[in-house]
Amino acid sequence: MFIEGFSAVFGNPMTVVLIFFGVAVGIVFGAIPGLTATMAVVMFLPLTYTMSPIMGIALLIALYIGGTSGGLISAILLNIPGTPSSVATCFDGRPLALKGEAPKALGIGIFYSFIGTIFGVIVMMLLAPIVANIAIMFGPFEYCALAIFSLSLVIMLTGKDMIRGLMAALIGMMLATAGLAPIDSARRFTFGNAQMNSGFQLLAVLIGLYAISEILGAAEDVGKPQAQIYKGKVKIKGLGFSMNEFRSQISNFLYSAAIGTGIGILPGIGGGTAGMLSYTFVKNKSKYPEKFGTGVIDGVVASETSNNACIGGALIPLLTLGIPGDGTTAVLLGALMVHNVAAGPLIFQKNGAVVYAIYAAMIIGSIAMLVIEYAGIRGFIKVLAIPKQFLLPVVMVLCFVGAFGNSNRLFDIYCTVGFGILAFLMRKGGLPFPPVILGFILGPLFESNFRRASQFIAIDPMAWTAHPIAIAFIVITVVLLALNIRKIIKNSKKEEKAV
Amino acid sequence: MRKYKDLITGLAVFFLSLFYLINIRSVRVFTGAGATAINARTIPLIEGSLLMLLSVIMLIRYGINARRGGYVSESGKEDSLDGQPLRIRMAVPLTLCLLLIYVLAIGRLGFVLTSIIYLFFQIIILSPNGKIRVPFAAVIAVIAPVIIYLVFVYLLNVPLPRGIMPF
Amino acid sequence: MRKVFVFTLAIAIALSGVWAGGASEAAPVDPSAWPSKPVNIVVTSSAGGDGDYFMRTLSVPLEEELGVPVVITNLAGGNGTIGMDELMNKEPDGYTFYVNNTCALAANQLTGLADYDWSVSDPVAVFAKHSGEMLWVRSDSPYNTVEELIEASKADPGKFTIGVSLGGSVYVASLMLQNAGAELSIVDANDGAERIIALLGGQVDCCIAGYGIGKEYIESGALRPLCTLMANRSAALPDVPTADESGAPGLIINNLFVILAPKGTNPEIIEKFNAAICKVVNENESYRESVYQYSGQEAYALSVDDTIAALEETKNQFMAYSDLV
Repeated sequence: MFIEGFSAVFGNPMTVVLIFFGVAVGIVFGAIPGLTATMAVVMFLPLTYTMSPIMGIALLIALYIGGTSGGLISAILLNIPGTPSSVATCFDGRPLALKGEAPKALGIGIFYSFIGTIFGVIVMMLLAPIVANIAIMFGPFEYCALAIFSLSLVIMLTGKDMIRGLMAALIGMMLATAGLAPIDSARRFTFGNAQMNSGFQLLAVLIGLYAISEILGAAEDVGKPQAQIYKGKVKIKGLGFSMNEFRSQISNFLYSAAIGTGIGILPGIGGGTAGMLSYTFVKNKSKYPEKFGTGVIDGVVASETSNNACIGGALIPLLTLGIPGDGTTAVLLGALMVHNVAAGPLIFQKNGAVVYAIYAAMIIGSIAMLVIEYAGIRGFIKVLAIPKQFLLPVVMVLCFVGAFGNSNRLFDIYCTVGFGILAFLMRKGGLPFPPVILGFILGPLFESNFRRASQFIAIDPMAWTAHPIAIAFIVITVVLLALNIRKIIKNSKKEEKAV
Repeated sequence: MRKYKDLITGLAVFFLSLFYLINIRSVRVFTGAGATAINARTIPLIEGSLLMLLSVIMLIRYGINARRGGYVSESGKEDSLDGQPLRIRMAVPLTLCLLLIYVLAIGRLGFVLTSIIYLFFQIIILSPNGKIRVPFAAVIAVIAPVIIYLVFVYLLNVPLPRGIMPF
Repeated sequence: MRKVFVFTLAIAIALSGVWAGGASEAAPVDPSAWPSKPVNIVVTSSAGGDGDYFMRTLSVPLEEELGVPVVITNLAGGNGTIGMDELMNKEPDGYTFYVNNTCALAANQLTGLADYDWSVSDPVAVFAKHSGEMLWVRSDSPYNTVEELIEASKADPGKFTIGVSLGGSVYVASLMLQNAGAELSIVDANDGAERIIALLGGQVDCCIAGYGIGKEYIESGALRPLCTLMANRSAALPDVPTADESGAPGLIINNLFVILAPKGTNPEIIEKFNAAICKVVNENESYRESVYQYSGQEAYALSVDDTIAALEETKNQFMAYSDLV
């Protein structure tokens, strides 16, 4: 079965061509803000019905990989995440580009996306059954604790003004409560509008916060002299970064890959959160945390490794349990079903060839992504040479297309502009954006699991004692918070003494 | 303006959380089997209250710092836009208006026409002083939406708003 | 001067557009030419479930039959209410349809999740049977029948937890189980696949989920169905009794997947669509084979009138339990 699966992919030139095609298309979808990997997979799904299961699924996986990775391009070049997974890449990717180091930023992003994916694939290949059992152990208590832990990282992410950081996170969480409540589907903050029932889309929030602020920022800077950083030919040496830099990032890479894969394995969280959590973790343990946000490669390494390792992680529960980890894997599940591949405990026995074909497709897909993106680097950087007044408006229109195309509603376009205005006001007030996104994603995760856990507590108040994993997360959270608060108090005392 | 930042932000967030908390009352509570004390109102209540608390803390912090005289008005640091032509001074409000117009008109006028109008004016607004190239703007404003429309609607089968236009 | 120019021009254009627009009226559709462009079908549940599977599998031969592409999208949420909201606001032009199931519609009405019933739409066809909701326990559970479970729960009221999805037909089923004497604690454990995982992971003692989702676990030996909630035993599992005959009389959930059209769709188009669906479902061998493999049931479709009858019947069946909610 191993041989059958592998040879169906490696040995069949048609499949390899298909994978390269899928990755290329995926990258385009990922790079254009507003278009996502999920959209690409949904669009190509019907085309796969007439293909053999292995070829069809290989194509979809290629789209998934390309779509997740492509987001780094617009994140670095435009400060607009191409897909939700690439939010954290903006933090240091864009400052690097502004410093004139776009080739390095892109090179790092691409290379670490590649090895991040491979890491995820290796975990998938070697540990899938074991890991699946861990996924089963995560119930409402564990997810709730994990959400609390992740939200606490917001504090470490915002650093100086904790109050504003917390405000931003709460605003994100409150935005997410609009719509139908989890569990009992009660209507919240819908003001009688049926379109509000599905709540705000993450895409509308992202585009509103990032894309519209970019264009408003450009409007603000119109009067100021613009430095054209990228003119003429741009050179890129090799992979864009040096051997020394690679060595310095090894531990960052390993931590981020582990976090990314772990987040991928737990259904319902997604690559964006993985990227942000890894970024925060790497920043926290770094020797120069104050440099994060000004353009250090560590930030890009953390984010891109993590969101790509998430892919391999997300495929594990999909294949071994039949549970999709996010929107894209949900469509993949549907695709598997239509092709008569039963995802679940017996997938190795019944459809082992398909599983191994998926592994092979992921490996080839990663290589394809590496090759295609490196080939395109010069082209991508040329984008930076386009004058802002032409580039940004067109990007804005594309963003609107993406927002609309997501669920085919004008309402999403209204929301996007609404969030843009919110972003404008938030910037004036000094409220940071990343906690809003984290709050928006993690808020529902926290609430639904908190409520589910409370059901069990209502039956047995001591139920939480049976969940050591959850307790461990809470303890770690408390410890980390205490350490960080102590650090902040120490620092502010130091500042007061200096003044 | 800068010295009132905390005050304004604190007040704005306070009223935002107030609005949020008031609207929680209209949330229906599930009372069937399996219901617990923690319902669809609980978490929003907690979140709204925390936000309100934070805004109060911010206002208190402002009060303390203002009393200490900690808010030195920073002069001249912010790039002054005086002396720039009106278009440049109004670039941000104009962009906001343009975005609103886009959103309001796209339902009626459809994607292509609205995007053409939007692109044309947005490009002009964002052009640096003295660098307005109307013909260029017009060409891009027309070509881009048409290409996007053709690719998405015909190649990718993703429908775009039509409004009253035939395309 | 330039600013004034820019401003007024833009506003003038926008205003004229808004004013000149008016409600875009749907061009009258000629039923004899239907279908002449792609047909959109919105599945009101998320990808990976029964309804999504049946619709996608059906769409392939259906495309051939109709001669136009059949585009499937998902609009999940609120147990199908979000999809229904869209249906109620959609133009009845005959090119957009929605997939829902009879029990979700009835249950939503019963529990108050929705304040309308199936008649806000024009039904086109029942096109598939749900693979059958079943009551699952882990294979190491000491209970072999529903009766034993009910007895055990009476002995220790509230100790045993059953995983359901609050507000939906599975929830109503658990209420019926309580009505039959069980004293279980009803907890929400998200959707079908998640409920199975919750059961596997030991979070709940039993759960109700579809056969299609859990069947792999029967083979792997991890889970065991105590009974099926359908009216008759499943052909794939002839030894598993129905709930009705093994301790919970009256607990019958026969779920049918139905395609709905926005109200006001031309009846000729509905008949045409129904005819195409029935033809494929009843005659296409490979489709019937896939369906049987997946759900252990024969492929199944009903005429327009029978569809309406089925919807009405399920609604009445569920509404009879209004005192339980």
